[in-house]
Amino acid sequence: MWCGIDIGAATAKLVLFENMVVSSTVIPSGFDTVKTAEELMERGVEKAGIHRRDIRGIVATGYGRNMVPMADRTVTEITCHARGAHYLDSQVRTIIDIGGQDSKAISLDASGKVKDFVMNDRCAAGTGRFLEVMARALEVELDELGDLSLRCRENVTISSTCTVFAESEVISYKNQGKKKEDIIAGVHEAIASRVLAMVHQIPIKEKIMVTGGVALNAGMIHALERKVEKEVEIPEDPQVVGALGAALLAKES
Amino acid sequence: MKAALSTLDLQNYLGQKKKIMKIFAHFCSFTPEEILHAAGILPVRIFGSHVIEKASAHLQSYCCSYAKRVLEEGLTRPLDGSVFVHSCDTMQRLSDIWGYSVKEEFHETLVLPVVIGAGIEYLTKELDRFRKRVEVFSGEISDNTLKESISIYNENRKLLQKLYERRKKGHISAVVVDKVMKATMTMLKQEHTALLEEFLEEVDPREYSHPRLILLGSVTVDPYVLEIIEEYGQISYDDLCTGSRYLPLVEELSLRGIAQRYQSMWCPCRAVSVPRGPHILDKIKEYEADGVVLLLHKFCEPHLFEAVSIKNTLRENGYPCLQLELEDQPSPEQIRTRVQAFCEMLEG
Repeated sequence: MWCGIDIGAATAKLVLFENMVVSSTVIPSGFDTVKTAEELMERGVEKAGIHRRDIRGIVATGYGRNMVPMADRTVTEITCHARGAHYLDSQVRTIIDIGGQDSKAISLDASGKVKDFVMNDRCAAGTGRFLEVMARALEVELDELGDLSLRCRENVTISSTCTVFAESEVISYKNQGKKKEDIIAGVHEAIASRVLAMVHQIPIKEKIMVTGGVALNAGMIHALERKVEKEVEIPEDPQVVGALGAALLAKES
Repeated sequence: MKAALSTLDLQNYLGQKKKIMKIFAHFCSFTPEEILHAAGILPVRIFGSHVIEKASAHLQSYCCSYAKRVLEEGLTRPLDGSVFVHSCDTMQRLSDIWGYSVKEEFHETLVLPVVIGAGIEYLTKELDRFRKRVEVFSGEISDNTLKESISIYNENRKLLQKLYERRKKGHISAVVVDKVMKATMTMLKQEHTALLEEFLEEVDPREYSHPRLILLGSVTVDPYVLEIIEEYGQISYDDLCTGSRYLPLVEELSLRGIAQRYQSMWCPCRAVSVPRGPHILDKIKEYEADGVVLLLHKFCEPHLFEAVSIKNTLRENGYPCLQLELEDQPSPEQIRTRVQAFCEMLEG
């Protein structure tokens, strides 16, 4: 059994792999990364119904990768996403990963190796955090955003690229009596624009796979597809692609 | 490392020098330090600190962090004088702002020709004007004294070239090279030369197995970036103001010679005789580099305007490159992820 642990800004993910994905686990990233990693491991092992001693290798990735005590080595999330996406679909040439705190675009060659990559700047616009802030301002749950935005009737433009300023724009729209679903669609458009500006720095080749927690939001994917003008592929469990890649790399080393 | 150069406290050194001689601040590789040296003035390149409190009141948010940092330094700890070069528009306007907001005895701005090679006559005259301006402050600078100062600078730069040769073989880390370069830009040249000679004798060879990198950019204000890069890669050459841009020698020991030296300094602020893309490709081949890291400051116009063309040239020739953008405040973890991922990519 091989294990990949991806400690992200918002969530921590674990994948156990033996010829195929045996189990995957997602929990919120706590303040104490060491504790989060321990809890994640306990839950993952329990879910898979195995013993910890059955695990032959562990690779840690994500922002918290250097704080995972049980890891044999660390690999960045860029390399891990590439490995995971290539395993899921060897035709993938571009990955767009939108996580809690950052977004990135990765260009792959036919063998799944990273050819080039680009990551967003420190600004939170274009990330999952942006959605969290907007959901709070609009008093909806994060996982309701996608479906609500698909009911949009009138286009509302969020012009600002800064999360804090965009929130004030959303509040202005609210006070103009705009509909929630229209504002949410505008928020998705704004993120898609921001992500696309970054993706254009590397060549966009098909197939395109979108990974990260934000890929769970159907409205977001809809906005992204319209901007790229190409179809994008969403894996069954987009949140754990990095952890899957880490598990595969643990097996290979 | 036992050599005195590696343990030197530059702030303490400057404190001692302040008591015995005039010190002028400068900010650019195109500063004719040799003239100041000949006038008995210590030219010190300013890097400032990342804590910006006073400077923000004078500068807009779109100014680069280097401009903010040095102005903060000028406002907090003014020296006896300052010399600016119109390298980019930000530095030109900063010079104006500096002139009325920093209290000092001497302030001057040199205006370079757009194409250094085509403007040698003009640049020689500009250097002569500068020399006369300094003479008003310091007293006469004789031709012989100037020649002596140029020779002292040449001697130091020859040793710096040796240091770079050592690094090419992978024997010296970029963090150490950075420290030596910052010291030479702070110290009285002959004193630095003495320490550098001793240092070169004592430097221990190191072994590397990392991918080989070339670093492009302007100034490395904080060494933390270099420390992170060297955890994953080996920097075998740089094209930086705080690096190789400082190395060329003055051939003819005169003002004209100083002007001609600037022709061989590869800076995106000035047009040079050969485009930088092919120059960088030559360096990649010479240093057998696996990839290039562009270390750029946010809002640095000359370097960022050039970055896309440099990256395209590199990609067309099959060399991977990573662009790191630095801001006022250090963000080590974000830089670490990018650098580690880039080196993983180079290692395949």
